[in-house]
Amino acid sequence: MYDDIQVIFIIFLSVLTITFLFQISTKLIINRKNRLIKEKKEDILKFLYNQSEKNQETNFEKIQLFSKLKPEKLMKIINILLKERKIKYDKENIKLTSDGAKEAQEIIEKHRKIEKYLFESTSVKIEEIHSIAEKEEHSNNLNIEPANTYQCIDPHGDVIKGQGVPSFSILKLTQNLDNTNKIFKIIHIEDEPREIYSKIVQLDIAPFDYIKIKEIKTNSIKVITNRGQLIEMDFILAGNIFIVEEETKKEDIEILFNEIEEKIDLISTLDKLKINEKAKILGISFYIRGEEKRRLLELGFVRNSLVEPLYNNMLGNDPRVYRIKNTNIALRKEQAQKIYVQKLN
Amino acid sequence: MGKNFEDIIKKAEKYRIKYNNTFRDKIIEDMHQQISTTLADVIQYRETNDFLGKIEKYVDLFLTSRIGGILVLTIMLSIVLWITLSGAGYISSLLGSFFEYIESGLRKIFHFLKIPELITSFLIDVVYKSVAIVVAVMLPPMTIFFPLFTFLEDLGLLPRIALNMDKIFKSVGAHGNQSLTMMVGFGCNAAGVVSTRIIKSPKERLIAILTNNFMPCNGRWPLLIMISTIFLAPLISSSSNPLVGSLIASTALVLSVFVGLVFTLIISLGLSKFLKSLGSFYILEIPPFRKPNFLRILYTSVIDRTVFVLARAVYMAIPAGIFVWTINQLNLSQNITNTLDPFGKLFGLDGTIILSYIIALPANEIVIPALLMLYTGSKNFVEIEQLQSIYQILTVYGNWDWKTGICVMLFSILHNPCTTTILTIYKETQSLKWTIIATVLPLITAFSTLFIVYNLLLKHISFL
Repeated sequence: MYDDIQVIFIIFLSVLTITFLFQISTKLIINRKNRLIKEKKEDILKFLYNQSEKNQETNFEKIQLFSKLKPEKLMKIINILLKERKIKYDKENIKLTSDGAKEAQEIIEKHRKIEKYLFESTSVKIEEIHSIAEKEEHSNNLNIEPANTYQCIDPHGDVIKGQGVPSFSILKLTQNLDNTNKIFKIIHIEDEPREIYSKIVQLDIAPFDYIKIKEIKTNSIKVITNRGQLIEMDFILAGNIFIVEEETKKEDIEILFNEIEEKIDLISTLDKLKINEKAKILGISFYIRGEEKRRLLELGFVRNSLVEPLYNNMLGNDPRVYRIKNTNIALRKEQAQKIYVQKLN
Repeated sequence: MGKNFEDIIKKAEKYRIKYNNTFRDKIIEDMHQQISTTLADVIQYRETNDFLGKIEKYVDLFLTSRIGGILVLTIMLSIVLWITLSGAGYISSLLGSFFEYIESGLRKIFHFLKIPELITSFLIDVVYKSVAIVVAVMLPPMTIFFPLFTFLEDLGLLPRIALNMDKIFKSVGAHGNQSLTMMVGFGCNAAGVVSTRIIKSPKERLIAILTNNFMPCNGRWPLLIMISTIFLAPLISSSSNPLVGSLIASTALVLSVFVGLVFTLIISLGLSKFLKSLGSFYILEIPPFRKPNFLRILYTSVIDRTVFVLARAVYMAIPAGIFVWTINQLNLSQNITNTLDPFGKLFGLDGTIILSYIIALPANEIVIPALLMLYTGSKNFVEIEQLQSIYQILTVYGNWDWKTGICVMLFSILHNPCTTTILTIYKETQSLKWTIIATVLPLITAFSTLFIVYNLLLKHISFL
């Protein structure tokens, strides 16, 4: 049997543990609540900033539509933001103060930095990058290796910090339908919604490609890129691609396109070459990224290098051995699909 | 100065934005153009259509054909393993007697200097003996296996094998070169972990490091061979026909390696789903065939692999020696085995087996001597050559049957890496987290697999 001291001791211990557990759980709950509020606050700031970039007025209903919060909760958050002087009323519209704009800019910058990091040094799928960055941008302690973020343009073509191309000269691809046979540069690809973005990635259209509109059909649009891809896409996809007119080195690019259009039948990807069929490299995809891209460039997979498939492996043609710059390199099919070549005849 | 530098950085950033980050591509492109025009005048390459180039091409075509690939791989592996295993035992016993000779000499010197008995026993039985045992069992297989393997490496054969195997490894999100690191793992897992340096992409490399342990190393082969010979072979052939017996034993051996392979692939698949935060790519350079350079082979195999693995093994052997000595001094072994017994019984093992695996942490080679030591109640490791007497000891003292044999084989393949390997993993990954995972993951795999196999399958079979 237990004696009194033991019973008292056990009771004391259990009370102690219960209070301890209670404290921890309340702390966790409060932390979570604070975090959620912070996320919502930052999302609203970002939304307001984007609206002001587009020169659109924003009222309470628009914010509610965007944030999907209940009106009373949204009121609370807006009141907090008003108290912190990050937003202000302009009649019935809500606007950012300079403080708020600054914070929104910082969040967007963080978002792009994360995207750049994920793109360059991880193997996260390109379609997933945006949603991960959307979550991670709210966390306070972020450790991104600085070496991977020095490049100042994110995977969607946006400048991470400071000014890029002035926004008035950026157009949607669908806004230029009367301009067939004119060359444009892709400057930004919208990463939302995810399904459409992943389709664009699959077509291998990337920021800083040059494209020429060849033909406009009733439901789709046919373009040719500077790597010789002939692509036909829906208007939904085209509406998510933003372009600018290139000012510098216009003639060079026109010459390039003329060459490509002449030899369009000879252009294919590396994986489609037959064994011992010699070809010239036109370029590698933007979506070969990070260390892999660096290695390929080092090994000589650059414009104008000659390449030739040598032999398959025991189990099939994936991976396959290619001869480039007098060395034999094995590449997998996914990589070879993203390397554009022009056959030599 | 500081301000100037910042200005330069700002200017560079401006240009980067203006030219859309295509600077690097352009620079490399121009560099290649420049280099190739310069080199065209200076260097003559082995062209694919001259005599040697043609021979190389035909050899390559043979090696990457379905028949040639499989033939070369199996023949090469079995020859290397056969030479290693048959040669190692011989050198090992030579080394053992050499160390015994030195030991008796040391004892005489200690006696002459009138050093107290406790210190003598500590220095000789613990420090000297554990180091001597580890060296005697680990050194010979390594000195045979690694030069052979380095020879094949130097020849340029191995990248072709990695190329052939890549499709399998790709399907589980790993790198074809992992097949090579696994083959090195046959020699020694620690060396296998070091050899993962040939995998350049961080994600696939980590996968190769974490799963290397599932390949039975030289230290585990003798145990696997012993069990498959004395427990599994008589099971079917009733020992009347030696040929059938050895056939079954070798089938069991191959099956056990196959189990290791399957687990490697399963764990790789699981890991590749979790390790998305690391970069991943596949690029394999296929070097031309070369005449092996024997000095280089000796250097790489002896200095880079053998000595360095051995040094770590010796370093880890001393604490283990102290552990065994303490147990024996305090007569604790019986107690420990009794406490571990119910736990071991859950998995078809017993307390003695688990304790001997704990003792054998620094080197898998000493599992058998430790087992025999614990079963016979001896104070030192017991080395017995005859399989028959080992069989007697295991069945009489340990109550082993073929079920225990299968369980021990499975445990031997799936259990945690030895301390040398753990230390090497820490050195290679520089991360405590991955070291712990590399240790715990195989252990969990081993126990859960054994639990399932023993309780759901083996327990209910009673045809013998």
